[in-house]
Amino acid sequence: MLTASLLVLGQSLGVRVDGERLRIDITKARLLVGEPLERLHDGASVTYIVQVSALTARSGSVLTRTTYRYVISYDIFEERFQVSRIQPAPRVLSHLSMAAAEAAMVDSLEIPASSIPPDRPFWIRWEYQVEDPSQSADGGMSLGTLVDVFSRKASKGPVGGASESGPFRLRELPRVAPARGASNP
Amino acid sequence: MNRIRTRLILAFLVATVIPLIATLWIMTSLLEQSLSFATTEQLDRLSTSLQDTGRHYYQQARETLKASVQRDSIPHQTFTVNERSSWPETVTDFWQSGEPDRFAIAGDGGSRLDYLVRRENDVWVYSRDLDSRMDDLSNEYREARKLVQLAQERDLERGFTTTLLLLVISVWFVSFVWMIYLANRVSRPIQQLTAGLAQLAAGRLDTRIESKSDDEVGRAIRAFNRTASELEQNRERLVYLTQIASWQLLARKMAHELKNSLTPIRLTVEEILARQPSSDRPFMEEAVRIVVSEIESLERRVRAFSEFSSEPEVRLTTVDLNAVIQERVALLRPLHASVQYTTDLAAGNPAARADADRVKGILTNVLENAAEAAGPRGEVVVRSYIEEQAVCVEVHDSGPGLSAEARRTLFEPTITFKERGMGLGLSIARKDALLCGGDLTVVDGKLNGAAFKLRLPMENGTGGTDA
Repeated sequence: MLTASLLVLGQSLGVRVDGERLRIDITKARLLVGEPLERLHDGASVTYIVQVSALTARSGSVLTRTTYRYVISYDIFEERFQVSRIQPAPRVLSHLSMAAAEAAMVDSLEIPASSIPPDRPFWIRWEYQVEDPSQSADGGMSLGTLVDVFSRKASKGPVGGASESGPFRLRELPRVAPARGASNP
Repeated sequence: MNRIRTRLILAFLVATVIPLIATLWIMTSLLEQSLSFATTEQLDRLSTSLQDTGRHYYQQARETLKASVQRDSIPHQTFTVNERSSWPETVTDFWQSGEPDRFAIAGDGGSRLDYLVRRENDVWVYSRDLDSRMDDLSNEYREARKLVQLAQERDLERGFTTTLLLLVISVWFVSFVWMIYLANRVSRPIQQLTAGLAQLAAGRLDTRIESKSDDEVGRAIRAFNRTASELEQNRERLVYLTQIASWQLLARKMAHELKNSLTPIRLTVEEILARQPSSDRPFMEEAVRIVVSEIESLERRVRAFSEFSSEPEVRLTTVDLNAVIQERVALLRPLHASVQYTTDLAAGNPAARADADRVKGILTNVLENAAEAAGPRGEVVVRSYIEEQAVCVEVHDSGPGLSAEARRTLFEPTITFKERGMGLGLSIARKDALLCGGDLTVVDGKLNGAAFKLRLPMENGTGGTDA
């Protein structure tokens, strides 16, 4: 069960065609909340996995999917976030406010448009999940491992959320205007 | 039911379970006490306080630096757009963010505070050293919060207690299984010994128990086997002596009756010859000679039976067995000149406690039989040695050996009419050996022929080494 699914329901999702790709614009997404945010405030890094999928229908089969992986960290003195995208193309954005950090995780989400039929309706599903650091046990059997296993409290389940929007038709989607040149460096 | 094993297992249970429970109770109590001293709550408060202090210090450092910049009392480093390719990452990142200014922790371990300000196409960077290493402080805070979070996410008391119980019970269980194995191993020979004793008491003197161990139980089993063996031999000797006594009685009566009949027969035949007329005398003389010869033969056997049935008193003295052997061999060597005699005698001339005349008779009989069995150009080996407080003599010959039937009936007294011997020699020899406290037995021959072993008690105070 994804415990934070309600938190993402208030977001809005837009889809645009950018050449051979679909750009997914998500706004008002609240990802830095609850236990992951506490861990960030404690100085720890938190890994987020964001997936965007094109579905044949609501909860239907997957036409195409892209997975993004982010490592978020927090500067306890500057009180700013850093978002490091590890997958697919590495990228680092630092000195971000919470809203900017959340936006950094959901902007520029793309999926290939080639596998989506132009005239058939499809749905976009996006979901995120926070990696549980307590599950990353080092292999092997030792006294420490035994104590760790027996002292674990009942898991609250993975933190994450999901949302679906649609239906969309590829030919009806707005196109991204071609760039006129570089603006601010 | 294997009671010893059950008792051993019960003893193990009693000896371990109660101390184990007590130990576990003490350990879990100590563990509980120890965990109650844990400093998680203090660490939580301390780390939060550390963060607040650090943040406050950092804010003050920022304000101080910014004030210095506003007063223009601090130098700056200029990064121009023309040299953008050589900018440090922090400057590039700041330029791309579009922010008008930014503070950044820099330097070794975060010991410097930079203030980056956008100035048209340049970035000016003002710096000041910090009294604290902010990155180190941040790392320490992170580690402290990690510990706090770990403690909050874990029930360490339950984890330690469960691990302790699991490990202790596992170790105890392995010990218990090992104990069952040991109990079986210890009790099995004792059980065998008990069963063997019961069989022995029921009269089965051929009962023996196998044992490879060299511990007390192993020694007890060997003692049992030795005792059972001696009991079996003694019973067999007793039976033999009883049979011999019966045969002696029979021989005595038969000799008496024959003797009573032979004397009148001989006198009558001689009288018949005396009264014969001279015309028939040659025939009668020949007939009488034959009859008298047969009577004399019968008289010899009667004398043998008389000797067999006679039981002279046993006179035990110290007998130098090596000397007797050498004397007997020297006596027989001329009579069997073609037989090769070899002696291998025990060092130290061990003395036996026996009847010297009977020992001589026994050795003469056995050596005579060996020489006859070996035949011309045959070989006879005589060796003496000490074995378990006894002096032994073995006589081996190179003859044809003994059949299984011969081995079985060898010492039974028989009546033969062969030219030499009456068939009583070996039975008399064994009887004499038994009367001396020893025995005469058949052993495996080393010259592929027959072999006899005379065993006599060793005289106290004498000794030697096993040859």
